[in-house]
Amino acid sequence: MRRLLILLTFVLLAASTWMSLTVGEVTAAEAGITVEKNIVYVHVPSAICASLCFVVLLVAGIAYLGTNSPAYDYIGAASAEAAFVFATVLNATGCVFARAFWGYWWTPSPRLITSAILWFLSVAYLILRAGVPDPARRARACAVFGIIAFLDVPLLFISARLIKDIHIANVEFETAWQGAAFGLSILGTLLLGFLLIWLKADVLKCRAKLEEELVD
Amino acid sequence: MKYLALAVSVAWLVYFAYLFVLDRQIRDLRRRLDARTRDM
Amino acid sequence: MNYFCDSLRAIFIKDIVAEFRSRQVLPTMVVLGMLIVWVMRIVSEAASVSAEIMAPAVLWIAFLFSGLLAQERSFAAEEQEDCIAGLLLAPIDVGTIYLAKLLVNILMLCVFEAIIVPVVLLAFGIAVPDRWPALIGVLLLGNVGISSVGTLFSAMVQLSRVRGALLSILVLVILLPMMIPATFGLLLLFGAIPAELTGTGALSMVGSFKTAVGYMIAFDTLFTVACWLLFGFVVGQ
Repeated sequence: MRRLLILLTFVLLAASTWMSLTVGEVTAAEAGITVEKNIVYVHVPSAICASLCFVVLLVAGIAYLGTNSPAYDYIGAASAEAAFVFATVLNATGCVFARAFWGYWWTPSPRLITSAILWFLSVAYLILRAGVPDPARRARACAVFGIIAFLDVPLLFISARLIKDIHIANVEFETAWQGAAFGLSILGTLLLGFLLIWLKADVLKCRAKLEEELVD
Repeated sequence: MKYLALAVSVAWLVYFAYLFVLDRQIRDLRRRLDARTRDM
Repeated sequence: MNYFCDSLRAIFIKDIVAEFRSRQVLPTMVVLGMLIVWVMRIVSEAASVSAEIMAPAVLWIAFLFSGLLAQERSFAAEEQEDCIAGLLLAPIDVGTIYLAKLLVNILMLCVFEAIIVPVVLLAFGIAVPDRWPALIGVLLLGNVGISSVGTLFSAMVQLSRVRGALLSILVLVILLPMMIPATFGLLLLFGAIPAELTGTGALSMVGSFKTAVGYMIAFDTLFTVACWLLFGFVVGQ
C-alpha cells in the first residue's frame, strides 16, 4: 500500500513537471514575464501544502491536549517537519522567482514576509521539540506552541497588508493544459505532504516504542 | 530559463533530501528492531 | 468575582514585592534598554539615518529584549523549590495565575516604558507634543502583546525544563506578525512615512494609523485569550 502511494506521488509530480515544462508552458502575457512564470507550478503547491501542514499541526495539537494520546503528538511533530520542508521549498523558489523577475532575492512585501515567518515558525517548533527531554512535557509544550503558531498565521496575513505588495496577485491560465498541469502538481504535492507526514509519524511512533522498551 | 531550472531543481532536491533523511531513519529503526528481536 | 480579584491581587502583590526586595530585573532591563538606545544612536549618527526612522526600531527592539528579560524571571522563582505546586494546590483557577503574572509583566514593561521613552525622544531629538497619548497607546498595545505571549512561553520554558535559551526564539518568532503594525504605527506617529504609501486603490489596506492600531488590538485580544486558555495545559503536571 505504501509503495503504491510513493509511486503514485512520484508519477504525479513527474507528470506535472513534464507537463509544465512542455505543454503547459505559460506564454508571455505581460511584458517581461517569460518562461520563468512556470515556477508557479512548483511554488504555489508548496505554499498550499505548507499552510495545510500548519492546519494539521493545529488539529493535532488540540487533539493531543484533549485526549493526551501520543499518536496526535507524533502527527503534530511530523506535520511540523513537513511544514519545514514545504516552507523551505516555498521560500527558495520564491527567492529564485524574485531574482528572475525583479532582480533581487528578497524584499519585505506581505507574501514574502508571510512565507518567511511560516518558515521561522516551523523552525521554532522543531527547536522546541529538540529542547525538551521528557516526552510527556515535550508533547504538551509542542501542542501549545503549535496552536499559538497557527493562530499567528491569519493575523500575519492581515497585518502584512499594511505594507505595499509587490507579489503577483493572481495567475491566470490560458489553455486547459496549463490548468491540468497546475492541478496535477497541486495534487502531487498534497500527496507528497500526506506521505511525508505519514512516514514521519510512523518513524516517531516506532522510535518511541523502542525507547520505552529500552527504559523498561 | 536558468532560473526556472534552478527553482525546479531546488524543489526536487529539497523533497528528495528529506525523503532520503526519512529513509535513513526508517533503516536505522529497522536495524534496531531486528537487533532487538535477535537478542530476545 | 470578589474571590477572583482577591486571588489575582494576592499573586500580583507577591510578585511585585519579591521584585521590589531583590531589585534585580528592573535595573537590568533599564540598563539593557539604555545600551540599545545608545548603540543605535551612534549607528544612526555614523550612517546619517533619519531619527524618525531609527526611533521606532530602537523602541521596539528595546521593548522586546527587555520584555524577554522580565519574562524570564516570571516563573523562575516558582521553579525553585517547586513553588508552582503550592500555587496550583491553592483553590484558585489556573488562569488566575496567568493573569496575575501577565499583569506583573505588563507593569514591569510600563515602568520600563516610562523610563526609556523620554530617553529615546531625547537621544534622537524627536518631539511628539500633540500625539503623545497615541504614542503611549501604541506602546501599551505592544506591551500587552509581548507580555501575553512571553508569560505563557516563560511558563512553558521554565516549568517544562527546556534546555537552552529557548524563550527568546519562541517569543520573537510568534511576535513577528505584531511587529509589523507596531513598527508601522510608530513610523506613522513620528512622521517617517511619506504620503504616497498611504492607501489608494489596490493599496487601500495600506496604512492608516487606525488600521495599525486595530490590528494590534486584534492581536492582543486574540493572543491574551488564547494564552490564558492554554496556560492550564502548560502547568498541568
